[in-house]
This record gives sequence, C-alpha cells and structure tokens, in this order.
Amino acid sequence: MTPESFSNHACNEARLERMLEDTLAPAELEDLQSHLNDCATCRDMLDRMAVVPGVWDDAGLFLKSDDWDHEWERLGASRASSTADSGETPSAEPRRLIEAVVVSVLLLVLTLAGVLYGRPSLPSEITAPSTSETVSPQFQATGSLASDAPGHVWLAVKHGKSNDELYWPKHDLTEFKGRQWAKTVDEHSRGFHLVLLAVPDDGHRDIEKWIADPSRFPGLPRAQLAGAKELAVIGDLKTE
Amino acid sequence: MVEFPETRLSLVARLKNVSDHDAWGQFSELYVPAIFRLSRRFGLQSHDADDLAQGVFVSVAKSVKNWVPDPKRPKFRAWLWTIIRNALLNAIDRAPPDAARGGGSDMGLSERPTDEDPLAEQFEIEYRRQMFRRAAAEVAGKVEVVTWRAFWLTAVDGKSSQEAAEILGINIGSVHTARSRVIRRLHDCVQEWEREEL
Repeated sequence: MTPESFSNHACNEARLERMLEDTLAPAELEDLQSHLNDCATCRDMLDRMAVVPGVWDDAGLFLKSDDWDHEWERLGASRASSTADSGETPSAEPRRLIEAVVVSVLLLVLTLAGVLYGRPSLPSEITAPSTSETVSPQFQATGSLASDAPGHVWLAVKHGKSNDELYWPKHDLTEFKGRQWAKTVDEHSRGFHLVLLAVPDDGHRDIEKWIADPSRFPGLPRAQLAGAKELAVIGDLKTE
Repeated sequence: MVEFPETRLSLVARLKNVSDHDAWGQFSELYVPAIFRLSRRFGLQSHDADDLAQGVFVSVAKSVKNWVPDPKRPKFRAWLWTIIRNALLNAIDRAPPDAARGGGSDMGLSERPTDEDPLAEQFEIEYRRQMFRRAAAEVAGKVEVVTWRAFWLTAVDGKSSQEAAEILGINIGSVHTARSRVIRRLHDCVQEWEREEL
C-alpha cells in the first residue's frame, strides 16, 4: 500500500465540511491537514466545497490594489493635510466629521471591551513578512499596534544604514491603535526594511505634505522627521 | 461573478437620521470610493472624480429622506445610480469641449451615460469591489495571521499552494485548509448581510 492510497482511507467529505464550519477539534484538524498534505484528491475536493463559483475570481479581482486605490489614498492624505493647514473645523466637511466620530466611538468600544474582558493589550509589531523574507513587489504586511503607541504611526519602507536612512511612508496606521492591521505594500526596490514609525504631529504633517507632492523623491531623510521613533523593524527584505 | 445583495434596507433606513454617524460612515466607506473609481473610469481627472464623489455624498444626505422602499419603485441602488448619473452629466457639461481624458480611463468624457450604458454595470462592479473589501476586512480580523496570509498569497498574489507553503513555513495541507476557510467566511459574510435585508 502506498502512502497516497493509505492516506486516502481518511478521505471524508463530512470531515472537510466540519473543518470549513470550524467544528473540528484541534487534534482532528491537525490530522486532516496532515492528510491533505498527502492527498491531492481531497485538496481538490476541499477547494470545490469551499469556493462558491465566482468568489475565488472575485478575491483576486477585487482585493488587489491598483493605481486608483493609491490615488484615493493620496487624496485622503491631501485632504487631511489641507484641513490642518487651513485650520478648517471638522464640521466643514461631513465625511471627515463622520469618520472622526466613527473612529472615536470604535476606539472607545475597543478600549472598554479590553477593560471589561481583561484582554491583554496588543504589542506594536509587524507579524508578516518575516526578516530576510523575499516578497513580491506588492505584498501584504500584517501586525498590531499597541493602544498606547505614541503619536501618529506609519508603516514605512526604510532604505539605507544607520544615520543615513530614508523613509518611504506607505500607510497611516494611527487608526489601528489597540488592534490588528493588514495593509498591502507596493515596493519595487531590491532590498529594504519595513518599519512601524511613530511620529509627533509635526512629523505627521511633513509626511502628508511629502505624500501629496507628486515630485517626491527619494524618500524622507530621518533628519527631517524630528522625534520619529521606530516601534518595530523587519529587516533585510528582498523583492522577487 | 457572484451576485451581491442590494444595499441593506436597515442601513438605508438609518441614513434618514443625519446624526447616525455609524450608518453614514458605512455608507461613505461603501460608496464614496466606488463613485471615485467609477468617475475615474469615466475619464474624470483625479481631483474632479474626488469632488464628484463628495458631491454625490452630500446630495444623498439631502435627499435620502425622500426615498421609501416600495416594490413598485426603483431599489435604493438604482435610485443612487440616478444621482451619480446626473452628477456625471453635470461634470461633462462643466468640462471644456477639448477636455483631456484622465489617465487610465476606459470611457471618454464625450461618451455621455445613457439608460443602458456599460457605466451602470461598471457601477455595480465597483460596488461589489467595496462590498468584498469590507467582508475581507472583517474576516481578516477574525482569523490567524498565517491563515489570512495563506489565503492572500494564493488568491490575490497568485502563488501556488506549494509556494505559499514554503513562504509561510507550513505544509500544503495547512495552506488549503486556511484558504478554504477564509473563502467560506468571505462568502458567509456577504450572505449574512444579504439575510439582514429581509
């Protein structure tokens, strides 16, 4: 009996369905994963069972960021920057007011939930990718942000060595304080570091202006970000 | 492509209360980026598309109180499409005759929207895109990081299960269980929103 035929004894559609419904015990799940590792038939069956026609295609089509997503993000940063410059009150623009209120309420709820249920506070960290990992030019980064992280927090790419660093801020993560975050990062350089960068208000405004500047290059020198502090670093990443 | 539900009636009903910030936040998150992308696809420049999206948001805030669910009348999204379509027509009328196309658009400014134009279908696609992203954001926060990454690497980045397994340091069986659970949850998430309509 070959290993493949032996493992096929464990082929069981009902067990796959229970896995999809998250009702398998940890030991059963481990056993199933081991079986799937050897059994292409069950892997195909599982793919068919899990995927409603179209959902898989939609995932690839809709979740991938494109140029218009980046434009939209830049416009958002630009709007925030112009508001800060003009001293405009939040009530002058309905969406900003709504977003500010929604974020405030969410933060309050999350804080209360943490207090009531004794949930340990999350660290400020980057959980993916890993140090020295080779990533695609567009990759997903994940992590968490401590609720007491200082100032504004940006996910940034860093080039260069100590005292000669250039930061390329990618995403403002401030709204994720006290919870997990996931962002798609575009980076085409061959080698770089990924950083959680905390900056005070002045530094945050400098970053927003830099993002709004279409001629920006080649990144923000560390010297221009007074008070910036690296909360986490994933070093020596490479692109494919 | 999967059929997505009509905007939840409960959400639309809540929009009538202008101080329901949560409802307006959801509406903004769902529709404003979709309208921006649609306007860019139609050929508007970036800032004009942004202005149009914000303008539609304000128009809806002013007039949603007049919309009532009625089987004999258009559904909410059809009603909203009328507002968007009018905003696009106004944008065309304001544009100079030799207005250049915005970069990357599929349709030029001279192509005015008609009752049966592909732009209406494109609006549905952009709406579905935002719905899917909302579902993804919800599911991503509920599963382990490695589970989500296994899904992302194979579904979005186009990696094979073998490649994803090597990147994540897990076996192929774990990649398949992870991504199939995420896909199922994404689907269930949208279905749940659909049920809330009833």
